[in-house]
Amino acid sequence: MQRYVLRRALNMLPVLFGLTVAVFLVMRVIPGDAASAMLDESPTAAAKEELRRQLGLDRPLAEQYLTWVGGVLHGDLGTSFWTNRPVSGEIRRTAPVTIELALLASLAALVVALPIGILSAVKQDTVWDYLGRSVSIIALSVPSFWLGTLAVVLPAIWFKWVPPVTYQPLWEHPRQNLAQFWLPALVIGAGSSGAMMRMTRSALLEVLRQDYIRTARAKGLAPRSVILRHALKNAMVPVITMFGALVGGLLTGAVITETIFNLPGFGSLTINAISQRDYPQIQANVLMFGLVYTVINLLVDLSYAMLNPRIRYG
Amino acid sequence: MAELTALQVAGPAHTPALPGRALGGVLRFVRRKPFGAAGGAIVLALIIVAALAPLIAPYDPQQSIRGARLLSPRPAHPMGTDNIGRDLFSRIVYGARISLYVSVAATVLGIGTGLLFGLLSGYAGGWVDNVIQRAMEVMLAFPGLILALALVAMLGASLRNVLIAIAVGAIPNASRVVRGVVLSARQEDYVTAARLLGASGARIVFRHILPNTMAPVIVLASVSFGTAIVAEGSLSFLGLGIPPPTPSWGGMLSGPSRRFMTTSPWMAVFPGLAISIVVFGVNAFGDALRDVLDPRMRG
Repeated sequence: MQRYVLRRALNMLPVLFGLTVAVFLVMRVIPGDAASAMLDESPTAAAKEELRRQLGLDRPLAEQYLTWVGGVLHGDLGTSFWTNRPVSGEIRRTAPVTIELALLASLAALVVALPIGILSAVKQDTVWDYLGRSVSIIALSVPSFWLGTLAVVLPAIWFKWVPPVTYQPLWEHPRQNLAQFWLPALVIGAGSSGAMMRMTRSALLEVLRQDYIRTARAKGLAPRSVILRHALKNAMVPVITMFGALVGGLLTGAVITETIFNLPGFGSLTINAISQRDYPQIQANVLMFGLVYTVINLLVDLSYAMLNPRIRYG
Repeated sequence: MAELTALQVAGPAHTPALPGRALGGVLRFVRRKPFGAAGGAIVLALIIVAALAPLIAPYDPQQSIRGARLLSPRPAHPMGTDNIGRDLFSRIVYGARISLYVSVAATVLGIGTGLLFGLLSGYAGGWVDNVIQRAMEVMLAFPGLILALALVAMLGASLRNVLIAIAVGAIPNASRVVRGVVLSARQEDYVTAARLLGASGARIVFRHILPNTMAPVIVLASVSFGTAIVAEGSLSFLGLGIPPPTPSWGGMLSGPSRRFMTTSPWMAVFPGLAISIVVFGVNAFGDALRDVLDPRMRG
């Protein structure tokens, strides 16, 4: 197991190295110039050149890359073109919002998806199953930007209620914070729950056909105990794999819902950086997205063994 | 003897003409997979609406109608009008064209490129395989929308660039699935036989192995088609998609029109409903297709 963890962690290094190259090249090689984006409508060539020199964009690409990666390795992700402040400060400021949103959304997805998925599997081919499957496919089909829009528009019309717009940190004003976060978390969670419901259903169905379930039933165990204590634990292995894949959905869901609900999170920061063409900030954010995504998928892989000891790592 | 009878029954004299056989296949699909068939009907409706948009839409989708700002749904405007007096029904009908075009083109481009990489990676093996697969891992390390956002941010928001950005996201999965199929096909006797007969590498790949990859590729394409519709909507919604005034379903939910949605909710409801119904159809059809074509991938 230890060797497997080490090997997987080492395997991440070339991927992360590739990420830095990809992010850097996407930002620099493709046409579009930060200097012209930052200056007025029709900048003079001299003004543009001067700004490019100040931003370091006139240096050879390899040199720019090595300077940037050298900084990243020392924990310096770069300096914003616009604010002239370290981009890592902005990331530190906005990350708690997105982390809280992603955790609450995961919780919402689990709370919605598990019972429906279990009911669907246990009552296979009954009206409950069809209902559950319809809910899951609807959850998969409704885009989060529409659900989020409706979540803002409809309560405003029906109840004259709008979600609070001033952000309050969780540890300072927990009640106001949760009043602001529950709706966006539910919107992201609903999107992720569709895939999770389906996976829970099919994984549980597969496990329910196994011999040890028949044995447990033959021993006279109560059906509830067979499902919750014996079947569900093994059925969770593929559901957790799915969770790794859903992290991508949570992150992109955060980008969209933070925009809709006016939350000062990492997603809003990225969108703002993109609209201002603040290359260092975009570079750092995309790198962070990739890093988080890769690390969570590694953790998901490693968690299999805890749930299902039959999985051995070579 | 039984075999002979079967052959006789299936012989040319008893085989219906091709359109009849296709119709029989469709009817069998409808009977066995009613949910999937309903999805297929929605996709077909999308294609028809997109193709016949000028005949179906009563108004020009980009033209403001004098004195028709923010009208609620009524016979003359079944989905109402928007904040600058454009008929929403006409915009949604024309928006079907954009959705269909972007999703089909992005799917063909993305899955096609992934297919080529997968074939090359699986058949060539060695360092070629290694380099391609590491590159795919890097691409997979980005959540799709983030990758698309970064690409559109750099390339600029336009129909072509949105299409490219969405297509790029489909490449790694397609390449991995195809590579897997190629690796197992390489061990098959028919590939060895082709090689012994002196067939070139390209002939083996394109003539013998490629047809085997079609079932999983079609299934992947159906998934990618739905993802592309949502991705286009999301990018347009974030203001990084197809620039206005081109009617895009996602774009209709963003921008200045949002300020009017609490007083004119039809502006929020109909474009999202259109996307949801189409993606629902694509998902239901894709699921049924997967069950029929590739039972190994059943979820």
